[in-house]
Amino acid sequence: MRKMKGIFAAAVIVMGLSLAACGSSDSGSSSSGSSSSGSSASSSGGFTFTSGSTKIEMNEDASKVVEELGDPDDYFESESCAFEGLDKVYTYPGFHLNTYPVDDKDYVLSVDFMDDTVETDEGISIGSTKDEVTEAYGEPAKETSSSLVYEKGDTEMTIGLDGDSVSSLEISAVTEE
Amino acid sequence: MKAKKFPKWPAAVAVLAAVLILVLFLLQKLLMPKYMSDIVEGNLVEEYYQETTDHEVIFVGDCEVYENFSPIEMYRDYGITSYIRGSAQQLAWQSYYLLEDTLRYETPKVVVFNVLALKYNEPQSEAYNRMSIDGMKWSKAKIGAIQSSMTEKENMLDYIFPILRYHSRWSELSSEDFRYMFHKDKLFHNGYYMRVDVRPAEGFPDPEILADYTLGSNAMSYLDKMRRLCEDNGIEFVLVKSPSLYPYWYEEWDQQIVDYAEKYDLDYFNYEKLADEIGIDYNTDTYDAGLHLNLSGAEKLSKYFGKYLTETYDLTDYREDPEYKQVYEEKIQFYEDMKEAQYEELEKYGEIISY
Repeated sequence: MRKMKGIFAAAVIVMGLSLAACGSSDSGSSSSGSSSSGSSASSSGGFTFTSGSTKIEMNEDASKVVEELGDPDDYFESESCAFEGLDKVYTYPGFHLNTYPVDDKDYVLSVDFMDDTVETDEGISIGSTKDEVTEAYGEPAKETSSSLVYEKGDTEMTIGLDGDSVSSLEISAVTEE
Repeated sequence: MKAKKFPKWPAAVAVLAAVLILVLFLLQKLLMPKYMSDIVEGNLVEEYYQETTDHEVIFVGDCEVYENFSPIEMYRDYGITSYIRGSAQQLAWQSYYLLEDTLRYETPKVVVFNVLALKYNEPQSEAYNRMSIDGMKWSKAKIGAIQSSMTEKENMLDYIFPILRYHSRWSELSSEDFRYMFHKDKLFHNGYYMRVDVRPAEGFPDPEILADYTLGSNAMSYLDKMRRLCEDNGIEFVLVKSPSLYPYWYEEWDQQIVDYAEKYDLDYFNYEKLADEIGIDYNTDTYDAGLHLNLSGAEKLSKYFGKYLTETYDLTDYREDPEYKQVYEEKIQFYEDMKEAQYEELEKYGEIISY
């Protein structure tokens, strides 16, 4: 009989622990499995882009950035495939600023160069040579015949190459959108 | 002679283990997201298993299939029986495994794959993975879907025991979680997600310049696996690109699919280029400014595509089959009821809020 009581006690403890686990927070994952789970902390230490006097960090609060940048030339928003919230694209001279939603706030997802009028903080623009890129950033984390990928903190910079010349450039947050 | 005494504790342990498993099972059922009042797309995959009749055409792909093709319209017009095994941001490998899963239950004559997802070469998002995978019944196909889809932060155990993943929902449970623990309402029409509202297409940002326009080898390998799976099962494989204006489907991507289709003698239709011929008007036939079609647009596309299917393949007109006729009468009624309810909501609130 005492053995039986012991088993019951053990079972109660296991179940109690299970429920306690259920009560704990799980900040690393969306609670419903349905909202975006991108980090909402800005990626300090990652690649940045500066437009005028505005320094843009990936994953930072997009409203602050847009306020500093001023009215965009164009603005586009689209609903995510199934999620609530909107993916937004702000068009500024020479680049697109893309954002993603988490709860009721937008965060910077990426900056895409659209022409050669803008350059990275290290002076690389569309039309720069591959040598200029490696001189500015060193050896890439990944390289193919048509692209170089650099990683820094929670950001990535993907540089497209057309032969020896930079044909595209994107700085993006590494986030599980 | 004394009766031999058997120890009682093994039986007690077994009973307790059973009770524990039952409790954990119930907790898991309670804690998993139900996707009933919002993000309903999370139920698309699971709803397939409620089907009682077979289908001669199966669609696989992302929102460009489940929002743009109406199987009910194709049945009404041509007697085609079809089902859309679509899900939000369904990636090419998920389409492959959902097709493999479908073949456990039926062998269609035609499989249609929408090519947009080929732009993704790697796992993208846990939340979307969950919507494509959690609803699948356990099988080799589901395990394959999990293994091929997991992002770096995910692990197999969380899929096998979803309670490990969803335990933190404990503090945000709602009445919906209790109500739909064991049964969910039907939300879709053979996998079609209906929207009747209208939001005209306006403009889109210029397409981004990509570093590389080559469709990824991983994604293309699953396209190939789908093709071979169809071939092995005597199924015709058709490729489509739905008439959605955004996100961009680059000409370079299109050409790669054209080449692939030519190489394997497959039909490929880019309906973006055929929108005028189909009669799609982006002022009236889309509910989200050109990303997806509304009911009007989906019915136009389905009429057009259904005609091609009927004329090209040896499909049965099931409108005169008594069993199917009865099943589809109910489906059509559900379709019409939802259509009417959405129009009523639209008139009352100026927008769709319950669907």
